[in-house]
Amino acid sequence: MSSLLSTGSSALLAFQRALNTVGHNVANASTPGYSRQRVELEARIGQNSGPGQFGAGVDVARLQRLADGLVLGRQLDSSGEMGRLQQLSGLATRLDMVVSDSVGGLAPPWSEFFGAAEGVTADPTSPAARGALLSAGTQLATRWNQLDRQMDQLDGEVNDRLTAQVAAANRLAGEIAHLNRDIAAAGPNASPDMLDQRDLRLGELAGLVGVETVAQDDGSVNVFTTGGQALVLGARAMELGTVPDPYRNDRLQLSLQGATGQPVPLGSGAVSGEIGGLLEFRERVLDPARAELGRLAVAFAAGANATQRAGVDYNGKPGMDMFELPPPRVDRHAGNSGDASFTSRIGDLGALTGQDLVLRFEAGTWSATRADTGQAVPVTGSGTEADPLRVGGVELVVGGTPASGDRFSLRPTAGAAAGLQMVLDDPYSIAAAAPLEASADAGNVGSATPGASRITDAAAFAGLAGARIEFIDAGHYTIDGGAPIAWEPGQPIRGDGWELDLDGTPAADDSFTITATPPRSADNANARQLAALDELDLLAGGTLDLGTALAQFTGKVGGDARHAGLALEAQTAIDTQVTAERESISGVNLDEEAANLLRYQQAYMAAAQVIATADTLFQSLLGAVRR
Amino acid sequence: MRISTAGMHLQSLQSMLQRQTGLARTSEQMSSGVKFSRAGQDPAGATAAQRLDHALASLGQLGKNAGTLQHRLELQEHAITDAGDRLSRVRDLVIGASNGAMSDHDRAMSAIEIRQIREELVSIGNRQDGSGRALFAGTRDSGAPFTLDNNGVTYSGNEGRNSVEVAPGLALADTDPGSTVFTRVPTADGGERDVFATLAAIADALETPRDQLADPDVLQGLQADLDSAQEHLRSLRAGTGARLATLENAAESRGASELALKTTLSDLRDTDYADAATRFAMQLTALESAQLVASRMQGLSLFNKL
Repeated sequence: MSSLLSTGSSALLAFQRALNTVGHNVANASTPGYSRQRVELEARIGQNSGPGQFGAGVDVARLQRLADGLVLGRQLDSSGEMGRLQQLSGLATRLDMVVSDSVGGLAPPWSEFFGAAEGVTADPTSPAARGALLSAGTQLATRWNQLDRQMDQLDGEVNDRLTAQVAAANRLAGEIAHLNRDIAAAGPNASPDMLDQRDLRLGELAGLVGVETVAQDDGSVNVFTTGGQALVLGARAMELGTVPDPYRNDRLQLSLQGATGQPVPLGSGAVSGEIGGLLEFRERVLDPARAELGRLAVAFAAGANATQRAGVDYNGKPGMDMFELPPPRVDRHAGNSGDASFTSRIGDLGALTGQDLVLRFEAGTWSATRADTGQAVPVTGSGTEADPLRVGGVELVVGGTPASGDRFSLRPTAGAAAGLQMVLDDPYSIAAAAPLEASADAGNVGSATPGASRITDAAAFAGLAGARIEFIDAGHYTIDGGAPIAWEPGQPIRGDGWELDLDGTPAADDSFTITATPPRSADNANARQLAALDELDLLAGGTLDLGTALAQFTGKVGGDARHAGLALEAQTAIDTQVTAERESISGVNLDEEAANLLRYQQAYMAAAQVIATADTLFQSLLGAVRR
Repeated sequence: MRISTAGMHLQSLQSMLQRQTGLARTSEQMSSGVKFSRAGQDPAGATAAQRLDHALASLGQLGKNAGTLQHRLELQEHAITDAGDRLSRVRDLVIGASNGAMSDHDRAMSAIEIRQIREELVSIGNRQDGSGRALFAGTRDSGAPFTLDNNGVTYSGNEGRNSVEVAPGLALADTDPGSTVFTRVPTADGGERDVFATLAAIADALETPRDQLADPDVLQGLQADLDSAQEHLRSLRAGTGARLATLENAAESRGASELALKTTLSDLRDTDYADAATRFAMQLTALESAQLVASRMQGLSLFNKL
């Protein structure tokens, strides 16, 4: 009877525990990260009593937490990817909206400018047409400035977000380290709720930086970045931080406290999660887009300026530059020991790629690599004024003395979009006219007629009053009776400060008279050059025109946004799948809990009845004895 | 597969959110009239559309250019016709004067009229296009190209002639320089002569009494020069007419290009309303059913039945 009593009370106790657990599950049905719990019941083994072993009731073997470490691993991977792609896609879409906006983008003022240039060709002396070109040029330059400013704001936002998210990641890593310590101290009795809290924080940390975990024998987990650097080792958290870029103070890099306690810079490849997404956006999307925007600005401004300089303005003066551009940017590494500095300028427009480079001075020679891929880029020249260093279309003159090991960052087109400025303000300063008025002599026999002309040297051209070109035979000509010069078909006649194309074939004794174009000329030849600038193959070694490059730029930024968006969609599907898997194992189902509640409640009531029966038996026994 | 209560809620929430995103995109396409509002929604389409927009804008400007050019060429046509009419009058006067019955006095009267016509021709040569540019001055068109003094008529323009783009890849010549029209006029003997000088020579011959003429046949030679000058003007007029006809063709070609560009752009960028409306209706139904399912699922609980 005492065994019946103890059997009944063991059942009462066990079902009370089970009901408690059901209550705990119901209470936490919508707690984030909660894993449902279950009591495992086990029959209590009785003592041998002759005929066999009679059972002695029930025990709660253990409180089980339903969770799967493998699913957690997948969940952490997915959180890291989700965080990375959300940042990347969100920011790339914002950049796309800036660039391809139908009102605020480059395309409308671009078309406006070339339309205005066409307008000047139809009415070259009209101050209204010329004024329209100047204001369209100003608009276009301003739009370039605005786009660069908006990109600069995105760049600043990356810095701000980086700082905020590094702080959040450090807080989470610290909490995980604490939980590790408590769990290790509790040993096998560690609370399942504590484990849930740690998993929840691991998930959040993964969303920020992306993590890999390694479980330890004492119950703690070590946490590493996706690049393998330790973030949490047992009860110790490593501090993430930000350090200024060695080439430029306005940009922050991610760092991690190393073994010696010193911060070590982390590349964008070392982390995933939101922080990885921010760094990737900056490196792969924003920087190239900004460099390309700058390259377009450089090519456009240089092309327009060259066209201006080739012609003469309304006052008969050689054309002046239309746009002002800042020179390519060179920044020294903070750790340089030499005092070298650079004077930079754009050399070869066709070779300009817009990619940022790192220059290195080692054992007396300069070398260059791409900043993003580390690929070597050829450098020629010695760095003097007469023989400047030539790298990626940029010419550099070295001042001061570099020390071996010194590094410099060369950003050929950075700042170009921000600094592009219209510098003409007088409509009459537009060089619409060709610099020369040339005529063939009436007695010429050959078919040659004077074609386009250009100024090659403004100072020398200013002294030109007029000249006479005489062909002494079909293959040689003289200018004002000077030394004979060989004539090559397709090549211009080159005078002092000017060039003249001849169309057709000259014959011996043919002659041509040229004079400098006088003021107030209505000639439109040079304006036509300007109007055709968007179709001139200036870029990529003379294979890419500006109009196509501009459309490609828009397409590239849009493509980046689209790829990030598609990757995010795919990852969202994976994440939903992983979440469903976790929920399927660990999530609380209220119907299930309701059924369990009924089951355990009934069992509890039955166990109480067993105790009542034991009491009745005991009372009957007592009654029998009393008699 | 086991479903958790929170998971069930999450699932129905997500399916509603997804359908709302799709619905918002379709309704944006329908209200804005375009399939994509930023390049990321269709990078290839946006790249092509940007180029087409630029081509369309440039067509518009070429149309304005053609308008300016047409105005100037029509003025040139009028001027040349007027000059031809004046030369016809001179020719009539010369034929009249060749008649032996005409008195020296009447011949002198004709000479006065011819000098008058010569001045008119100078003013025709100095005509402007209405915006301050001389029509027949080459590219030195800021002042009057022809000046008349005791020594005759001097041309101060040049031989320059602008080309103006009026359709993609088609550039037409602007007005002819005054030298081509008036000063380098072919003569009957194959040389070149200033038409003003021809008129002056005719007037001189008519002012001279018939019996004092050094060469009694001088008028016949001058009349032949006059004929050849008229022929020259007629051919210039034909050339101008041809350019005006080309301008009209260019307008047609611009119109055709514009239509083609707009059609391509529209296919590329504009919302297909039939498609969008169908999609909208489907997405709406899907969202409504997702909402219905969600509300019904949330009502289900064993606890309600205990």
